[in-house]
Amino acid sequence: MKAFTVRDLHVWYGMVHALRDINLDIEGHCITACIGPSGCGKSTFLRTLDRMNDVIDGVRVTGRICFEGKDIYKEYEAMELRKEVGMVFQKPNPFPMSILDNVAYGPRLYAKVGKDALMEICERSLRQAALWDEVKDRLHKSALSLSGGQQQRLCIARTLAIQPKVILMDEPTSALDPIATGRIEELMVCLKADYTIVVVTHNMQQASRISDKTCFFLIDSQRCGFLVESGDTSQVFFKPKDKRTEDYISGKFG
Amino acid sequence: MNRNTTSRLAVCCVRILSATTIILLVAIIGYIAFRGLWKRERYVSDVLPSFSAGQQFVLSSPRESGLEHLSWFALREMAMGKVPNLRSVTGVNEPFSLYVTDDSLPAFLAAMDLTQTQLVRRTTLPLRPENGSLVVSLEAVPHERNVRLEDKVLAVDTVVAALNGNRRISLVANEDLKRLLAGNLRSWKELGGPDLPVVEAADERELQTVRGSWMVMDAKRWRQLSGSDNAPAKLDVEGLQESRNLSWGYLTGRTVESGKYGGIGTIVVNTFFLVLFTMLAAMPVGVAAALWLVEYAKDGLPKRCIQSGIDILSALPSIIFGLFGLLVFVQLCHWSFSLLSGTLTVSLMVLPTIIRTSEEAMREVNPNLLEASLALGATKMETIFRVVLPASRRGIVTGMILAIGRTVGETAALIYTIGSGTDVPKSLTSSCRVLAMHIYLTITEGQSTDKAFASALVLVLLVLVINSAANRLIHQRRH
Repeated sequence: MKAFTVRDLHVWYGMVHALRDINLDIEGHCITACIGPSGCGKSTFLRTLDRMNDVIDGVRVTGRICFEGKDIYKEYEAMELRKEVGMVFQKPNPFPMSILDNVAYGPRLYAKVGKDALMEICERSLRQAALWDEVKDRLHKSALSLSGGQQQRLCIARTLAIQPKVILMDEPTSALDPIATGRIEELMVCLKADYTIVVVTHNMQQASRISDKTCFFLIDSQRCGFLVESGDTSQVFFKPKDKRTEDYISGKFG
Repeated sequence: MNRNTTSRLAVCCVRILSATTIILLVAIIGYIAFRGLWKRERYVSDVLPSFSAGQQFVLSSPRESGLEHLSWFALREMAMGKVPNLRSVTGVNEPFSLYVTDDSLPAFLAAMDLTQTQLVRRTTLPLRPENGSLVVSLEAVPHERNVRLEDKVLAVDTVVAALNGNRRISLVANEDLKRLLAGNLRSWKELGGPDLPVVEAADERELQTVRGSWMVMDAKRWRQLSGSDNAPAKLDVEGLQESRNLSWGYLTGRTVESGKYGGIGTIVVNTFFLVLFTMLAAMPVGVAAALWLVEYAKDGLPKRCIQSGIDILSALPSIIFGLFGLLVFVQLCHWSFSLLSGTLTVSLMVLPTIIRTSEEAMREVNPNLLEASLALGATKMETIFRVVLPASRRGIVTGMILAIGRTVGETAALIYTIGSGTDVPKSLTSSCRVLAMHIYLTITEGQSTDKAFASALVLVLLVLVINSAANRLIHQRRH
């Protein structure tokens, strides 16, 4: 089943043409990795999927993106969409509140949550994010007292607490050490069963280790990002159709 | 000179400068505290201060009269009905009335050397004596202040006080009096009098016959002698009286005579009212304006205009706000000199400070947090209330403290707007002075630097309390 279908997508930041002519299907319940050199529009593409670009002045999007068959720009409110499509950012960004309040932030937006229900949501999300055992004794301590890796898992737990269908991850491990990175990767593989995951990464090994699908972005002479090819990770990495993909993966540029 | 020496010299300079700053600070605060706690008043008395014979009656008077001690001569004048108003005695503008109870009458007449026909008095004591009354009774009147009667004079041989060449002893300073009483004074010449040895007289006869003799005697007796031959003269005493300045009575009492007498109880309350209402008016507006500037306003000319306008306003001298308040709130809106006019004027004055500090605090909120909140499906408003405001709390509170500091210390903006009433305001449109104004008015109208310093000390302490309370508040919330 397809989570997203993207047709003829163009994105402009003011006068700058950032992405051109993207056509892509993103499968549900698998990990899709977006790879490519810096500035090729991977992050822009990701942020377009949950309309996080809306808050930037001068952004213009044309084309059609459907989430589960509904056009996200026409048939969704941004808030509604973001409840379905969560996002984890490059830098861990927990709120300066207690761990519990961080996880409860999302659920509290949508409904008045009782204390017991809140604890339940909190425990479930933290368990899913493999953080529960480390923080269960200090739920009321500030989230800023956690290590970087723990903070990132808390951010994942915070996203899981609103029970989205898709999780977008924008280089979630680039600010972390290899051990923390390993834990997040394990976590992503575990979450695949219940969630659709789209991850932007600079790390080729990471993409090949964890993803099922890979899309390769590149930048053209006008500094405009475009999609070179996409497909099963094994096919893109080992039998690329395009010469540029092969060059990039084998380390000839980028 | 090598670089090492230069850097040592620089460190030395920094140390000297910081030490100077610290010394200056300590000196200023110490001086205010000293003058606030102690007062030194110069006085001239026709009797010896703190000398009083045991009386058979008690004098009491309400605190508002300002009477603490009375010279025998002054009391006699008052008893004879020659003092209609206390203004000439203590400076308090209250009509004077003397109550003498029947049972204390004989003793009082005897002590004052008066006959009953000379005495002007009232007999039936009211439930609550009016402010300018003095009560003579056998038992102290409950809840009123005891007034000490000083009735000893320094009587000297006539020649001592007589004109000698072109000079005479007119006043004896307190220190000289102490030397005299201790027997350390050899000749009257030391005080500017005749060249006569100082002799302590044993009795009245000796005082009248021995040249250069002196003695401490009852004022009543001195007066009786003054008609006779060789009547002794008396020397007036001049001195500095040191006493406690800031007292509980001052902190809680009502203001009398624009601050010359009485306390500042109502004025402290007024100050709290002003701060409270100013914050209620200015904080929501200021924080909302800062929010709009940070989160909603588009970059461009209007925003730049508003921001530089705010900067100009925050640098404007407060008297200009006072003038604006006078023209708009007092005259145009017909709110007269009132708490309302004052509050609004000061609110306008502190608004730029609040907006600026809040704005800076909000700008410093990590934009990643906003993204995180939006990505969880929060609206912009929800993000502002749940993330931006809590995260910039410290800066906003800091702005509030600065604003409270300015409000508490503001005088110029209030002179023409809040009025100078000394009572607690009954409504928003009644006039009421606040502490800083009170200090100004005490100096200009009440003419009492001692009281001004006592008020200043209270103001300093008030600012200290507000600041530390706010600091503690921030600290608590952080954990």
